[in-house]
Amino acid sequence: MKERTFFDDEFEKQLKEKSDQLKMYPSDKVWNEVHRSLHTRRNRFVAGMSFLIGGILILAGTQLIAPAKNTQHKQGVSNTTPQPETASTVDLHAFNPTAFTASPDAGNGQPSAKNPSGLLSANEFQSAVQVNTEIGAIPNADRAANIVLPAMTSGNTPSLKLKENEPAQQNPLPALADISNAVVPASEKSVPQISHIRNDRFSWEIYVSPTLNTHHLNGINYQNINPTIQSAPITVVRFANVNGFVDNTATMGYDLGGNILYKLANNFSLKAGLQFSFSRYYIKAYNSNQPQSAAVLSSYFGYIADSLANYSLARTVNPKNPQHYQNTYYQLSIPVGIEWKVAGKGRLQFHVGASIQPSYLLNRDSYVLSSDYNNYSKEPAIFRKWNFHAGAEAFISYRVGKVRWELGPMVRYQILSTYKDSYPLRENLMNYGIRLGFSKTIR
Amino acid sequence: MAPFYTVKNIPETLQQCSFNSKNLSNLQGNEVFMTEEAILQGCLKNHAAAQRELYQRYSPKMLAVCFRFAHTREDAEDMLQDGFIKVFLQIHTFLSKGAFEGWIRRIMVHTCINHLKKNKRFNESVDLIQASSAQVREESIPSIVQAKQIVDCIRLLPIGYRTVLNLYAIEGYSHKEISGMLDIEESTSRSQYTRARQMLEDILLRRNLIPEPREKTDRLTAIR
Repeated sequence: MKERTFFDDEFEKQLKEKSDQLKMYPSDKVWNEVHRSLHTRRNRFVAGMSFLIGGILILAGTQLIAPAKNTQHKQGVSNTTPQPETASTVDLHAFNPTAFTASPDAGNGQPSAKNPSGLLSANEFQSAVQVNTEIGAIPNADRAANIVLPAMTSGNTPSLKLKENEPAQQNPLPALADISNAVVPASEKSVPQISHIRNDRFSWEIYVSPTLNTHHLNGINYQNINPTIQSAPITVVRFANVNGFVDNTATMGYDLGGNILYKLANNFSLKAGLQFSFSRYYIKAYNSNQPQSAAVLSSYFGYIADSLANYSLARTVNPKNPQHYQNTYYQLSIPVGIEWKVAGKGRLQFHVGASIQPSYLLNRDSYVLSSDYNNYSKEPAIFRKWNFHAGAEAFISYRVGKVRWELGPMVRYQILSTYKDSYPLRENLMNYGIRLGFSKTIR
Repeated sequence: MAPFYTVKNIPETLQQCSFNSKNLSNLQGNEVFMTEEAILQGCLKNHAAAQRELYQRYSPKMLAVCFRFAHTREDAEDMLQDGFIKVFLQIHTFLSKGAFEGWIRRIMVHTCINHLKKNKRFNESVDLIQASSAQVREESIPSIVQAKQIVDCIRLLPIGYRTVLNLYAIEGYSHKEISGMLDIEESTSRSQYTRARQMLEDILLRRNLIPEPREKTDRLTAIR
């Protein structure tokens, strides 16, 4: 607005005055949209985080607290008179110990001197069940064949009050034919084991990773695209390496997430989950009192068709009034990947994993560098909402009780540029960090 | 590691402004007049009430600005919406040295130009027949003429002419600045403005909004 003398006549003055007098009242829709874009983004972020944290807490609660209750319940069953069950029931705790006969003398069917009635005491039954459960298969088929269930068809389920370490009283035994029908084959006794393994296939994990956030800026090399354009009147796009014009500092962020793992094989699992990532870096710039016009979006030659005009006070040059700006990115992603147990069978194991992560950028108010590399400004329109990340990690895990703790390095790389393709610069974020997590098998 | 500034982007002049939280609560009521300073402070803190106050205060004027650039009222409202989002996102960059309204207006104008470029309408070619040389007339616009009538006439101009005329005659940008904003030659901006002005005068004449000139000049007709 410097050279306004040539046409400063009465007509222009009045034209301006008249035009400025006009007032128009926008519809309510405009304010609603403005308000929504300024505030619902925050609400969406809060809702997303609440959902993530709530989900994790529920999962953790059901897996860490509920199993303890179940264990207590199961312990209680052994001290009370169990309810009768059908022979097909696979829950060993539901069997009535008083109805079991035993053949301590290798299947001769006769009561021994120690146990004249031929019945197992409560302790003996528990021991037998534990042994069989731990072994997983009955080592002695004859012996297994002599552990029998009462015939439910006869309807005379015995119910005796047993005392610990005391032989059971003589009890009306079921008819021999019924007993032979109710013999549990060895193959059936292994059913609980099979069911147990199936449940073990699923596990969940929660992790947090403090990360160091770096980024890689790439300017399009126009000379490579067409060497003949060197003499073209390009004023808005520089050929030089963009990294020479910016002063950015890596800083700390974090990842927080949870996965459900499905074990395909003993040492190989698939995993999928939800992850929230907060990454940022600092920009050193210089505050300028004079707003500078900055084309933040430009075609190869600054043609108007693809350019966006903007202006800013933050400059990369002119070393006065240095300021530190911060670019932050909040992302929600869905990691889908694999995990491989490389070594270890017991408490200590070593795993590696990789994932691909479709991600959504929750905020678009970060600074962007103008295409002449001189200014920073905010232009939400050029940010890419959906992106892809690749993640990799290696960690050692150590089992403490029912929980397996995990610790190891991780890296996460943003595959597509932060900005849309029409923006001449590419920015790929990269996070390095230490992953701390814990996992637990879902039973 | 670089130091972390929680209010890093707020100019010192704004940080020193006294801000009374009572004032902010009063913003809920439309009756209370808020100072510009209090509104600014509220907007810096992302308070919806302050943002609403600022919007209500400036949106009528800014919609008129957008309307001069836009094809339709709907386009103008889209421009206004994007412009205000930018205003609220960039409000920390405002230095309280200049007029706040002027600052908002500049953002609106840039937003309008971005919209025109994105919609490719700016590239619509205009062929002129009988383009006469620049002749500056001194007719004045009678005070009886309404602002709406003038703006309606401006909106009849082809988009390229209209943009240059809006930027130069009404918004006060120089031809050099316009050439930078529109990525055109400075001389192109000058010639487009001259033709735009001639065409506007012609339209005003035909609508009897300005008196007949002493000497008749060639009229311009735009063919798209």
